[in-house]
Amino acid sequence: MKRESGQLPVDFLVGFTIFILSLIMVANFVPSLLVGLQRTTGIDYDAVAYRTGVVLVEDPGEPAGIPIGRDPFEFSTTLDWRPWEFRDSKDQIARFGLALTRDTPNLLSINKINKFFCTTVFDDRFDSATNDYRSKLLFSSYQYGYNVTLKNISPMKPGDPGLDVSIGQPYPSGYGYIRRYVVIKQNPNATINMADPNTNSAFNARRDDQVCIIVPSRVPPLVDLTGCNQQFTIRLTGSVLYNESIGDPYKIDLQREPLVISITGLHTLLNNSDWDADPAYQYNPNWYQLANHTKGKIINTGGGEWNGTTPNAPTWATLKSVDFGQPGNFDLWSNFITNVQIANDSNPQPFPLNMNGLAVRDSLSLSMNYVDANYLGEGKDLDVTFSFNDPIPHTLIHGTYLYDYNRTNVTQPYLSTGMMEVGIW
Amino acid sequence: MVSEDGQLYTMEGIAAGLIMLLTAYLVLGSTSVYTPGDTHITDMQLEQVGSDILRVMDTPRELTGSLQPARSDLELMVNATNANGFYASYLDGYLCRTQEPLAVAKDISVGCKDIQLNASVWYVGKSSSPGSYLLPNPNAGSYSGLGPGVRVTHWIHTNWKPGGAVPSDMRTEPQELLLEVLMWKA
Repeated sequence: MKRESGQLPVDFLVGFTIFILSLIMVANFVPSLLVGLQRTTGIDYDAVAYRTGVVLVEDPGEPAGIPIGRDPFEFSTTLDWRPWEFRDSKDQIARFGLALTRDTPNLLSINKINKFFCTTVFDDRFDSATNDYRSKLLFSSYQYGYNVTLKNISPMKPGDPGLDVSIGQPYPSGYGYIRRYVVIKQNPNATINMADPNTNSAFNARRDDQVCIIVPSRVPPLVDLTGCNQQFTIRLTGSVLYNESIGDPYKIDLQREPLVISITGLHTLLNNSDWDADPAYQYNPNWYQLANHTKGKIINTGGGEWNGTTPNAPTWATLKSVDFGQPGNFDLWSNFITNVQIANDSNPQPFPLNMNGLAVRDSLSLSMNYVDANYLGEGKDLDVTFSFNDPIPHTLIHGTYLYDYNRTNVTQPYLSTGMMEVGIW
Repeated sequence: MVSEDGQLYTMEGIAAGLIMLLTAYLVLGSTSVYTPGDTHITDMQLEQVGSDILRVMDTPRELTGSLQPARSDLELMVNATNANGFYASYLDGYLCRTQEPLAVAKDISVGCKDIQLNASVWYVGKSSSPGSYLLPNPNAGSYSGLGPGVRVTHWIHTNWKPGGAVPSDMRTEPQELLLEVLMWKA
């Protein structure tokens, strides 16, 4: 091997082979190391979608409201315990979340849903630096694209349209995604139809309820109208509403749901004696009779309930005031409560009422977005009292209506199923 | 063995051939990179969806006259051993529900009908030993255990022994049952 010694020696060949093999193996490892990095963006979108879904479905947001099941006396009565959906300023909202409470995952509040998807209140513009959904839901300086959609599966509360709401932008080709199934809790409300015979007879002062002061010196004795107690009270009993045995999905919780009262058919309680129009009726024994000479029952002896055709029939009642208080102290809170919406015959009116009162022909509605725990809770009862002016000629409404878990009295919280989809890109 | 030239060139050729074979083997092996992260996310989504469905199905819609929650759809189905009703509700009512305009569920409802599921009910029997029985699903085979599967569970309270084809050693008094749903891609 003299002339051939310039060719590759075997040891060099072995060494070179080992080197090449090592090089190939290292080169083979490199793509594997990059796999995680290559997939980071896609996985991240799914993770952000998942996180966003959890925040929406399992968290009540911040402020979350007064904890359920805790004695309200434990809490400072000077703090504002309103949950975020009842806040007027969005600056007071730290985080969105649609769950009713911290303990009720998958149970969403319809009030939070309505507020959350209201893009006239919150900035939903994709390119906006002040986009509220990025700052209160996504929590990232990265400008994520997003789409949140919620639809009902089972029908919503009878009379309500289906739920189909969304925020964000249309989906691009690639995105992270999560789907959640939820139960949507809808608000209770009381619709009191005075035209219903049972309701009418229960709250018609022509029975035994109308107690007035009698002026016995007049012949026939005169009824002093100023002494008549023409009041209709909605009573919310805290120990009943906030009974711990009632589960959160079914609880009438007026610290998280509005109080909605609607009284209809009031014309059936209008007295058929138009006292103002013809003072002579004051002395007409056919229009009333007296039980005794110190207190008396006013009983319409002119033919029973107003049939709508009697001459001089009044066409309105005058609501003098709406008061808030406790049983036995009906106007205790009246000077403190302001968040009341009131309407007569579907016409919104300012509250408190002006001195002239409010003419009501047939229907009256009252709603409060939020009832403070100072006024209603375990051991705290709240009375909402409607006082009518000029009582005898105009209306004969009288009595106390219980706002509770009796389905005859109150339309209970209604639960529907729904599907939420969250897309992030 | 005529001369050393041929031997050397032959060895180089053999080495080069080995290198090429190894390279090809490694390159081919590296093209099918398995990314467990993707599978994990899909499984997580499916597990979350399954858990949500059972929770929603087990939420009674209203209170009874005695102010106790009424019986849930899920409890009624398990109590009646209504397997067909359960699978129809689980799949058509929830899991495979599509939503417009979004062509939904890139990871879930694409091929949703390909997802198979079986549900079984676990109980504590008269002898205090646990037992289980299947809610038979005529549209699903049996899980081979090879592909990724997702298992979700949910506790159900029942006031009496479920009816239908259930084991005889089940107790008759009020009890808690564990519903276990296994989902996998066919």
